[in-house]
Amino acid sequence: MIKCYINYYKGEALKQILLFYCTFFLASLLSAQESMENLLQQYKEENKLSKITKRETAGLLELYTRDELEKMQAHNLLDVFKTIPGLILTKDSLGINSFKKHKMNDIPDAAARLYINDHDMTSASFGSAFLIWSDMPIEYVDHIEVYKATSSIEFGNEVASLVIKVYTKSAQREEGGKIKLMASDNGGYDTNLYYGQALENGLSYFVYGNKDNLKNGDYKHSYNGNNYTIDDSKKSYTLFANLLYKEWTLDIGFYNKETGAYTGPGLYKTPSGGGVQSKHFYAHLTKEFANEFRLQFAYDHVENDGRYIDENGMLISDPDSPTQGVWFSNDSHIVFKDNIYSLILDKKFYFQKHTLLVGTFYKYKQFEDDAFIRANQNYTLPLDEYTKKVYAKNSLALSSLYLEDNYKYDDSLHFVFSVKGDFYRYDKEVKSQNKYIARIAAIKNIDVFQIKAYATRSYIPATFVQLYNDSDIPVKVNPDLEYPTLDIYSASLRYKKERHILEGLVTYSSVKNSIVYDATFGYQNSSEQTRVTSWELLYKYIYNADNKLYLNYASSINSIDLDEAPGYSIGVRLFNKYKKLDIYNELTIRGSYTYAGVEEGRSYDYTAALKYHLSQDISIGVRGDNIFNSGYKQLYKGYNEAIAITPQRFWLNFEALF
Amino acid sequence: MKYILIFTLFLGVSLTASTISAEEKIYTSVLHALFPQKRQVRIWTDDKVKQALLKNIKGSMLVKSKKDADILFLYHTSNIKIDKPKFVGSYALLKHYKKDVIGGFYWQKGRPNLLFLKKNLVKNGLFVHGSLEKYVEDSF
Repeated sequence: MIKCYINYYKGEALKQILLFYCTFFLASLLSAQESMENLLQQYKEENKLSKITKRETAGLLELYTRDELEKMQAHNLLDVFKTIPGLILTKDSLGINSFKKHKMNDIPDAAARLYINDHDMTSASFGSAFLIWSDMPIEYVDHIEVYKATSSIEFGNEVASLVIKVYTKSAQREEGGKIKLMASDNGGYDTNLYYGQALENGLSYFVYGNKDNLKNGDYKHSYNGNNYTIDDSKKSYTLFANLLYKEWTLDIGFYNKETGAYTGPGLYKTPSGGGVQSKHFYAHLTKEFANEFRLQFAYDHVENDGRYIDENGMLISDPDSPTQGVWFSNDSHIVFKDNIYSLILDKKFYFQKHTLLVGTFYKYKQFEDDAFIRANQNYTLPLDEYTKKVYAKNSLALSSLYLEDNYKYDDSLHFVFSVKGDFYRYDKEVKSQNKYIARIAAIKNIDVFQIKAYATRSYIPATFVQLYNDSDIPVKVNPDLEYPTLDIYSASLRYKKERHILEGLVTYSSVKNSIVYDATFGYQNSSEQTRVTSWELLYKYIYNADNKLYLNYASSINSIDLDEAPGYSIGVRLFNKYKKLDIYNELTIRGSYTYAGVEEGRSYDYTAALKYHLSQDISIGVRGDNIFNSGYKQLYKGYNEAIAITPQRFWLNFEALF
Repeated sequence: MKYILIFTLFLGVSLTASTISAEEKIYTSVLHALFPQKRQVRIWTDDKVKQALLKNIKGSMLVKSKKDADILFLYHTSNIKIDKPKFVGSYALLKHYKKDVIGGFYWQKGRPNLLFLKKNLVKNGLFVHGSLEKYVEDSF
């Protein structure tokens, strides 16, 4: 009933949203006053953990503070990702979350990396475990840093051009616990519990658990008179513990999730079952020595068990088939298992004008691929069913050396020079690769202006999924793939005066040897060079810690006339506080686009959250995602209707600190 | 979109930012609330970083010996036996000294907290004056 009412007024959505913004922002201007409460709030703002961790030199930074995440009532990373200026959050046909640049296709999985504290959520099969963790719950997260156009050298780990750093809450600042319960109008839920304490013996601990069932909804698809369901569900549980004792830190995490098969890889997007179960366990031990020497050990175990069933056929590679090496499967069950062992050493040296970071890491990545493929027809009809069992195992020893010089020329100008060498050695068949990264960054402050410029020569590593299996079933791999070369040049100019921040950013990136896939020819390096120029205009008005307005405009053009995503985005985010009420409004407008011959119109994603504080420790709230159901939708080949990336949904929220 | 632009321009009002940190203002308020009559409050602390901050406070003086202090600001040390008013900077120390600590400024539940303990204030012959009275509690 509510949804019908809302849809009826969809045409008036923009007007209503703007009226909403003006009313609450003006109301909140009246509430500020100087008192101990304000001083405590000011102290909290001045001592945010993000002020300690953020690295302005590492790339174009987008920061989400704890206070903002709480006001947004964001409960998983996707709630944050859909607001990042310059990037479009989307899903591929298997339901895997990814990003697009404007007009472009998806950013490769290996180019985006996610860190939880200092732990890189790595994978052997896919290069990065971003695709598993991209929808992780974030109630245990203090703040999130998103670095675009980075080289990742400053983070001392595997290469990436997009780095998302997630920092968990600290036991010393919690000294207590929290329970957070959310329920949605479609029967979904999200439950969270954490507790942190610093003990007198110097040990502090923080533990967290989450269980959710998002019930994202089903989409129906009719084909040849039959009905099929596109299952977008997700349920998961997460466990996390952080132990800190003197110079030792131990992080342990586990994420287990089950997702629907989404549209599946079928030719006609007619899935009749299947789904994906992903598990990732990790442990990360860090020892900080007094002389700025740091030693880290880590272990990761990743399992990704995906099954796709489609009676109308999924195109697979099969070298034995008489039809140019491709065949049609009706049931694909593929399990990837990774074990990764990491050793990281780094040390900082301080000189008069230079801070030198020297580091090295060694990773041993084991990859195992176990697949069972079935079809309801053999190569020559009407013989028995076609079945193939495929097994492959390989490993990679990746060693790396890196050096970074942070040179402070004077109080207003400093440079960062970085170099890194990555050396890939495979156990079987795949050719060795030596890759190098170089980067220069300059930051100049002139009164109210700040100029930043970066130039980076980097690369995008290929993954085991692309490089190796024994049989070329169900995908044809290529052990001789070259890693794509990536050049990024970016510059920004920021004006900051009193409460106003205005910033313009331009990024030019060029990819050579990008990896493309075709079922007949397998993974290949493309000879076509892709050049993308993107720009963003950002404005922030920060009245105080509780009342803020963020505006952004982003767009891009490319050299290959690709037009597979919206050409521009406009984002508005407004944070307000009125007495005991936290108010959050978010509007994202994206341009129209055409994909596979189908046009999708302009989208308006209006999301809002209200939180009422019954006391300092107890609050209740509501959050509406994509309230007018007019948010960004993704088109897929073989399915003529676009699917909303953020489903329309309403949440009730209860939070209690203890 | 024109409404957003007009609205943004309308919000062109600002105040002058203070260069004194909130932490310094909070400690200044604490000292003034505890010692409103004293022209100079003698402070001892076990934290070098806080020394720089506390000595900046108008009407305060850092002393080297705990015996000479009017108040001890403790951030790390849990074995102080001397009978002087103790004000702590962590929740762990607040619990440790709960029998004689007069108060604390510390992180808990993800936010900074200010607290004075009534019975320990009385034990030390102190009262909290002015607007900070509402931060006085019987227990924590």
